[in-house]
Amino acid sequence: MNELENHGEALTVGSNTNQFLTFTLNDQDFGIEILRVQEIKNFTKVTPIPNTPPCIKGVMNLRGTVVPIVDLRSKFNFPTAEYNQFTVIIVVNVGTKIMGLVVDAVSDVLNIEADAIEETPDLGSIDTSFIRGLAKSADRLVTLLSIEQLLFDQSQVALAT
Amino acid sequence: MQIDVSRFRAAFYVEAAEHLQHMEGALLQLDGSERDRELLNTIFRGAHSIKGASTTFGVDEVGKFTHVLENLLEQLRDGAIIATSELIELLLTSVDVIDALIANAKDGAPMPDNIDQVLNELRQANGQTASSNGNHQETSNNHSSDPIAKKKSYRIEIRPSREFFRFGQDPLLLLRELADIGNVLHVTVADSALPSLEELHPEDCYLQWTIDLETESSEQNLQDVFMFLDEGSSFTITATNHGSQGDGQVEPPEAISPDPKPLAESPSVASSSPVEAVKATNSEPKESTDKKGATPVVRSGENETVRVDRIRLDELINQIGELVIGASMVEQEILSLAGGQPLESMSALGKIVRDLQEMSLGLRMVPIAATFQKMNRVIRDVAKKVGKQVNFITEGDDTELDKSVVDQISDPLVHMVRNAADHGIEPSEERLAAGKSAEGTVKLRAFQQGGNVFIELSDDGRGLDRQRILAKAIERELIAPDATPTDAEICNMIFLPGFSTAKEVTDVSGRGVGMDVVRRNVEALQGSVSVRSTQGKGSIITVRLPLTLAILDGLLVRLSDQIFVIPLLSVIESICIRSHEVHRVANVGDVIMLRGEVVPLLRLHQLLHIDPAGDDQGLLVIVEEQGKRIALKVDELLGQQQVVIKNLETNFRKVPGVAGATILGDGQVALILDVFGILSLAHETPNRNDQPKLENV
Repeated sequence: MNELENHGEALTVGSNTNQFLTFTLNDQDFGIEILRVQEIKNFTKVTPIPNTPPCIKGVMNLRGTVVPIVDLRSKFNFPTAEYNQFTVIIVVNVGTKIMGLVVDAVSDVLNIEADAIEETPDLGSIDTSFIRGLAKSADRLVTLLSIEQLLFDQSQVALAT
Repeated sequence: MQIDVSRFRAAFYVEAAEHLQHMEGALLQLDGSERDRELLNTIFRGAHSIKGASTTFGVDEVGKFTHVLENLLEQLRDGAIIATSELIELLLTSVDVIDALIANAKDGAPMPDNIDQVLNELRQANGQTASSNGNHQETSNNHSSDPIAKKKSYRIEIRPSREFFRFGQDPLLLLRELADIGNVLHVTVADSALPSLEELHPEDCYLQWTIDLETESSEQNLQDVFMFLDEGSSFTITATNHGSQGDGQVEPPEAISPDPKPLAESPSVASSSPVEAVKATNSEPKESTDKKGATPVVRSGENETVRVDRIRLDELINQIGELVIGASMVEQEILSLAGGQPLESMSALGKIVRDLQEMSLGLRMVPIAATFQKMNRVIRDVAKKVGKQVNFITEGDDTELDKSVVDQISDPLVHMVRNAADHGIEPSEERLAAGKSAEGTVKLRAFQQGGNVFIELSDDGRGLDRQRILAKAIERELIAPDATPTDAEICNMIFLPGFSTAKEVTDVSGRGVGMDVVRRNVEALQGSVSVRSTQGKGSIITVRLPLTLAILDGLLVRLSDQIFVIPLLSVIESICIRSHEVHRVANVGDVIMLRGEVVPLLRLHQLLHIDPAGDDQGLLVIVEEQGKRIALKVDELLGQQQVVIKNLETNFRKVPGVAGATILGDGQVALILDVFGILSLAHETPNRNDQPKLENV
């Protein structure tokens, strides 16, 4: 057990590379740390929850666990799109919670060197705390998200209000 | 071998709490049957176990205190002193002190301030008898001060299990303890079970011992040495020739031939089938039983339990709940594949799965006995404080309830029981004057009926004073001055918030928080509470609780294309109305007239932001929450069903108006409505759509 853990740690630290799952939203590329991803599911019917922000699509049954589903398009104020066969739910672990993210499509798993991640540029008054950084991959720019910041902290705030 | 004992401390705390509970229970029963050996033994065992374990786990304060207590208990057990009610009181206080000491060690709760006083009192109680009784000394390990040879010889055989060491035990400790008790004349070790070096497992125990011992301690003391023996191990204590100055040449009595199943022959027998071992050792002495014959004691689990982490248990139950849903989904699919022809094997499987679920839910059930016992203590303390004579009876102690219900019902019960003893039962003079016995009776009864458990608290006290309740209710503006409530309604007013009728606020009860807290707690458990009372004769408070919190009886309703669950507990009835029966009040809300009563009408679609379906059938579900009735408009009633409650908070957060979620037979999630929350939703700004939306999750 211990050996295993150490081994895993050595791998990530040693190579100094992080793996990111990339996906598209409104033709833009985003990435989240692959260690956060539990599974990827086809979009299925969700049960809406009343009196929650519009980005909360509802809850779904993930093998007996009731998991809230967040529509990232709605979260980022992108125009809504019809769900199609590419629409998937990325199930992520945020702290102790399990949540599902609806995205347009998953693209790839990228190995990104730690020093290849650019710091988030200052965008003035816009809150960018949920952006971990930017990474270049081939000719595309991938926005790396910090899902804790994106979902967890703010849901705590939402809980308090 | 160095073991980090802190890991085991948690287990120690749990076990100590159980021992304390047993001790307290036995102490309370002791009142009136002072010489009941079994009870005294139970108390002694409890103290002894706590002492032993606390020393092992380095909780020294507990160990020291329990040691003093144990000395006293030993004298009690041996009949050297009699348990007077003062002494029982002192012992009960001691139990509290140990409890506080453990709390101190566990989470740093403050040290009990009466510890020194109680210690002194214990020593005093002990000392008095010690002086009057001559040579009774501190603990069991007294070597003779009495020259008259009351010494007896015993032959003790220890047959440790192979796993002996893994239970953290050590034969050397046993031998040392025996040496403390008496004079060890002879020790032989049987090493016939010892395998060759290649096969020997260093952590297994292959040896057995035979000890000849001379002591004046009782056989009980010897048995106590082996109190912590694991189940696979066994021992026999045989009295050999009494009073002789045994010199090791004691002839073994016939019956004490070597162990009928020596480890050498079948080393695994002792551990793998303790039952067999029990039989073997038990049957043996029968042949030879004279008064001081062999008394083999095998620590077999008289009340065998397995401790399981609660989270793991809940996960198991959850998964089985999933299995039920999964099976029913498969069943439906097969049904459609087979063209509506039910498959026999599938329905058989379905039945097994449902049985399995029922069994799994039973795992969480615990008897209410421990809670009732706590009430016994509460009554005793209250009665003493207010100087009343109260006889406390419990019935249905074995009634089982969900563990979390049992945990949470304790506080409301304490409150009710205190009230009964403090307010319900009259002082003796008053009772005698009313032609009753001087001693009041408070009875706590539990029984199961349908999917509910009822707890009934009855007293034969003065009953509820209608006049005073009514006057108070009017004074507190809880009801209109000209209202004419029924008798039952008056009685149940004691559950209204801010109601307390005690003439004077006593230390025991009546701090303004009263029965309304009881009601709120019970309702939080999805239960209900009501009272019946006959003036001058007494009152009966009935608490109804669901068997389990994991499952809820729900009414499934449809709103447009969504299914919601309304807890059946709050549903009064469902009715169908025509549109002209709905009355608009001041253009803000709708009401209906239900048998002369004005009931507000809430449109669930609107509150839950669901687009209304086309046809309006005028279907209403009348629910009652905290005494208020409301009519909820729904599109269709789909039926009644038991649903497994899932928390939304686990992965999300609390949502107003929603009590939780459940997974329906088709795998879809349905929300369980929180009727009280719906009511508060309705109280907020009528049009929530106008409010700025939170964009956060």
